[in-house]
Amino acid sequence: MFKKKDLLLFLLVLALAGVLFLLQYINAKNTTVLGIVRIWADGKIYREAALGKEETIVIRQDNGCENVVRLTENGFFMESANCHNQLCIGQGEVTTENYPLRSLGTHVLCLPNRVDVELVVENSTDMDIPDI
Amino acid sequence: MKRLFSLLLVLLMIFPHPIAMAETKYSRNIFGYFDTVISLMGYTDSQEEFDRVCDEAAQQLKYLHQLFDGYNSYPGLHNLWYVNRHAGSSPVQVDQPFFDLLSKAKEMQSKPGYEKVNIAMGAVLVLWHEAREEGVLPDAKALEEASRHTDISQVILDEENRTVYFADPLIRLDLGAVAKGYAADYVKALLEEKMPSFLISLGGNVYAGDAPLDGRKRWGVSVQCPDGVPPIQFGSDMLEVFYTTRMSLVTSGDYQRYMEVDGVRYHHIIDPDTCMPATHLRAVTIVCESGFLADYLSTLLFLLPYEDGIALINSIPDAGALFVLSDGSVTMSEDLYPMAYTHGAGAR
Repeated sequence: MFKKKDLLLFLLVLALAGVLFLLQYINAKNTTVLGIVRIWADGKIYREAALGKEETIVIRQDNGCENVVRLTENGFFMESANCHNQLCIGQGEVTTENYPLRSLGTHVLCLPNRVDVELVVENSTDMDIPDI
Repeated sequence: MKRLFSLLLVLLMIFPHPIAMAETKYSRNIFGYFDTVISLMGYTDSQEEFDRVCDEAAQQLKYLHQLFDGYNSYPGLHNLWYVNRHAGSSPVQVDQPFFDLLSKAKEMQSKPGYEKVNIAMGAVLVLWHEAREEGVLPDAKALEEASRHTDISQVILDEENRTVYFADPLIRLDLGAVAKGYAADYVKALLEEKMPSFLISLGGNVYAGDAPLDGRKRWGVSVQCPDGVPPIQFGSDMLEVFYTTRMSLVTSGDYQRYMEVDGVRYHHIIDPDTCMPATHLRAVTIVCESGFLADYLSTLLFLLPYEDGIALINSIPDAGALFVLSDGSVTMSEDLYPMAYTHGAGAR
């Protein structure tokens, strides 16, 4: 019933499947990044910065809004802002350790200045971390 | 034949197919609407697809924001600002969503025990709004005078012509207690069709759709802890986490919008009978399917003594409430135990 050529084709298909699976696996691995701080201003990405060294980033918008983000060893906090309510300052530091405990999760938000700073973390294995 | 079959197999494997594709969780924060930040997240095949759905949802939210905006006018739109200025002199025709929301709220208020949420209380609320901006208490006489113009029966809704008319020309509408919940219900239809596994939050107004597509069975929605109340865990600012799908969760509290005068806190949820902020509770969270109902009930229960509130919520099937009483103690209706982190619930 089966000829040698059929078997060869079968093996070829199997090998191709293996390669495709591996490619997808590697691709998936690459999409999860650890330790990036993503800064949004008025709905657009303003800047992305890697965690690791201390740094101060000034977010200056054309409308005069200004926020200063301080990157720490494993997170960040809003150092100052020229908004009227200063709630973003009160939201404190986000770190790779404390975000599951924060009601704002990985974000610090400045509503009046439309600034959203986010700690991009690797998908956690802890499924019970709230989404919001 | 066999060759054709093999070829088909290979083709099937090369082209990505929907079942095999892993869906990813994407999220976006939208600024500028409803005086809050709107968070939208969901599971789609690609960033592009998520962005498309987001843009569409944002369009709807922008429309609703303008419709229910009481402070600004928009060309050609008979919105809340317009209605408040013109419905006292003659009937104003409004868009269907605007009319729907007024009808729903007015009907709800006519039910026994539901009277305290009054969308016709704008004249009183505007005095409190100005007072908070200036940091001084509103004048008692002015409050009393304004409270004479808050009778919902003087708001005449004509379904046939879709018009609003104030029989008392000094009436002002305020939709703060219901607009966000209604807006969540409104965009829900679009999201259920285009991205069924989603979660949307308009400030403290959350709707969780179908289950996340990452192996979890339920979304986790946190409730913020009022200041001075112990959180679920040391170092956290969360009071509770509810794990659920196809459910609205709305919180009303005294800790987000308020002012302090002589060390006393005056928050934004005003009792229509006293024209003063209600003091029975620190916060209340309502969990039920309808966003409009959850929004309405969260304000209503905040205005009622705890005993009345828990009795009312227990009378509604498939609705539950989490209370933070004025002494800081926390309690919830038993229906919510299976969803609550503090009662052992999780996302699986």
